[in-house]
Amino acid sequence: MLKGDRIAYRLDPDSALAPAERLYIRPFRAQDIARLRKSGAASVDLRLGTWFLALRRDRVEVLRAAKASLESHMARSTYVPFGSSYCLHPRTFALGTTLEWLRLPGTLSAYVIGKSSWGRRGLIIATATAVHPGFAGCLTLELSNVGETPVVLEPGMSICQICLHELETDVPQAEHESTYAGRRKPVIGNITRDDVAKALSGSV
Amino acid sequence: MAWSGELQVEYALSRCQAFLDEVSRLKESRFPYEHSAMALERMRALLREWKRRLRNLGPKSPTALVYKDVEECLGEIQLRLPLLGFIERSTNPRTAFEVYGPLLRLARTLLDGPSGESSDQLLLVLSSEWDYVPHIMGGVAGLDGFVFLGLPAHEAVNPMLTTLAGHELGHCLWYRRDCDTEWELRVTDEVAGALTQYWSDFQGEFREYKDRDADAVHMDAVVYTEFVYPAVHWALAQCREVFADFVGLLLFGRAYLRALAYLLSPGRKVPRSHRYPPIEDRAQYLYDMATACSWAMPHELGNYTGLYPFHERPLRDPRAAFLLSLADGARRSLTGHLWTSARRFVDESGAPTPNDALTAEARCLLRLEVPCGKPAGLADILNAAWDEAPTLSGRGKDAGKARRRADSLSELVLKSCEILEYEHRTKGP
Repeated sequence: MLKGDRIAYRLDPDSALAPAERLYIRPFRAQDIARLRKSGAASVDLRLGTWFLALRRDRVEVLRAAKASLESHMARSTYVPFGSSYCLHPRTFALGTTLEWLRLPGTLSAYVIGKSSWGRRGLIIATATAVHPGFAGCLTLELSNVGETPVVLEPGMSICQICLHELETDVPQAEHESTYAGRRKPVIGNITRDDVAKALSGSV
Repeated sequence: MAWSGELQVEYALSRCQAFLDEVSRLKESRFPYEHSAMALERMRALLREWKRRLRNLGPKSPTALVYKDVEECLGEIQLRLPLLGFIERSTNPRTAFEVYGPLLRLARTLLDGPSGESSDQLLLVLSSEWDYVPHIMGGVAGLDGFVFLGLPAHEAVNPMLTTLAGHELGHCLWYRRDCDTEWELRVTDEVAGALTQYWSDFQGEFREYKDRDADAVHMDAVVYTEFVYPAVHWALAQCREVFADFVGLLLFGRAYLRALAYLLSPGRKVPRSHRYPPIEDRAQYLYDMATACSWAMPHELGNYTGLYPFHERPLRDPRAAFLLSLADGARRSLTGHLWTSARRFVDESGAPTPNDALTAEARCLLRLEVPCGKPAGLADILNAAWDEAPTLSGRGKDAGKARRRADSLSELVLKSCEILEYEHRTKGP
C-alpha cells in the first residue's frame, strides 16, 4: 500500500515519471499534493460529485440478474450543481460519484472506503470497491442512509478515501477497459451471468 | 346585459390564469440554475400585468380597446408558451450542465468587461429544443438580459456544440454596443451607392423607372422607401449575422467553425433567406479571417463547396432578387470592417480567446483520458476535443470502439468544464 509521500510523487506533474505512468486525480490542487506529501496518511480523500442516480421504485418491481434493464428505465438521474444539495432520507439508497476523475496507471490499483465520520452518522458510502489498474473516470459510490435522520449531501464535501496499491507487474492496456470506465456520472451497470451461473440456473 | 367583448375578456382572463398556474407549477421544478426560475418569474409578472389590464376593462371601455387588449394578451401567451416548454426542459439531465458556469462567465466578461460588473448582467438558460438546429435566442421582449441556449434534444449532452453559443453572444454584443445605429448608416451608403452604380440594371427590372435618372436614389422618398430601405434592412441583418459569426470565431477559434460544419454540412436545399448570407459565404469569411491571422485551421474547413454542396435556391421574384443582390453587395463590402469591429470589441472586453499551446496540452491530457483544467480555458478544451474527435472515426468492426471513445471524450470535456468551475470557486481571494 502506498504512503502519502509515494502517492504525492505519483501525482506530481514535475516528477520523473512519464505521463502514462502517472496517477491523475482531477481536480487536485498543488497544495493538496503538498499536504498529502507531508501528512503521513496512506490514503487520499475524495469529494462528492454533482450527479446522483436513484432507483425508480414505482417502476422497478424486482431486480433480477437475468434480466437486463435500461438504466433510464430503472433509475432517475439528478444533477446537483455546487452550492445545492441532495437529501438522502433514512433507509434510502442512491448512487453518487466522486467529484474527482481518476486515472490509474497500469501499475496501481485502489480500494474505495468510506469515511468513519460519515459512517458514525449512518451514511455508508461504499463497501471496499476495487478500482483496477488503468481505470479512468469518476468512481460510482453506493450511498445508503442506515441512520435515523435525513442526511444532506453537498457536492464538493469530503465523502470517501482511496487506498492505493502497487502491482508487482504492469497490467497491459487491453485489460484496462471496463463498463464503468470513462464516465462522469454514476453507473448501475449490468449483472452478467457466466456459463456456470447459466448452467446452474437451468432445470434438472 | 353583457357588454360588447365581455365574453372574450372572460376567456382571455381564464387563459391568462391557466398560463399563470402553469408557471407556478413549473417554478416547483428542480432547476439546476436559478436563471430558469428567474425567467419564469419575469413571465409571471408580465402576465399578471395583462390580467390586471383585462380586469380594468368594463362596460364603459371602448369596444376597440377591449378587443385590442384581448388580442394582445392572447398574443403574449402564444409568444411565451414555447418558452415555458424550453424552460421546463432546462431540468433535463441530458443537458450539458457542466458547461453552464464557464459559459456564463465568458458571456459576462464579453458583454460587461473584465470586472463583470453591470447593472443588467446577462442571464443564461441552458436547455434543449426539439429542433434540428440549435435554438439560440436573446433580446426576447420582456425578457431583456436573458439568453436562451438550446441544443437539439438528441445532442444536448454534446458539449462540443456549445461553441455555437458564441454566435448568439455576438448578437448580444451587437445590441449591447448599439451597433445598429452605426452600421445602418454605413449600409445605407453602400446600398444607395450600389443602386446608383447599377441604375440601368434597376431600370431593367423596374420598368416604371426607365425614364428616371440615378439621382432619384437620393431625391425620391418613394425610391428610398420601396427599394433602398428593404435592401438596407436585409443587408443590416446579414451584417449582424457576419459579426456574430466573427465573435464566435474569436471566442472559440476553429472549434466554432467545426461545430458550424457539423450542424450545417451538407445542409438542405432551402430558399435563400434575405436575412442570412449564404452559408458558404459565412464559412469562407470565417476561414479567410482565421488564416489571415495565421491561426491554425484544418484544411478541410477551407473547402466550402465540398462542405456545403447544396446552394440555397435563388429567389423566384427577379425584383426581390435584384434588391437582395444590393444587400449582398453591401454586406460583402463591409465584411472587413465587421471583422475589425468584432475583434476590437472582443479584445477590449478581455474575454479569453483560444491559445494553441494550451490547446495542444489539453489534447495530450484528453488522449490520456484525463480531464483538463487551468491554465486551459473553455475554448482551449473545446478546441482540443474537436482536434481529437476526427481521430475517433470508425466504421465496420471498429465502430463500437470509436463510439465508446467518442462518448468518453464527451465525458472528459464535461468533466473539464466542471473542473474549471471548481477552480474558479476555490481560487481564493
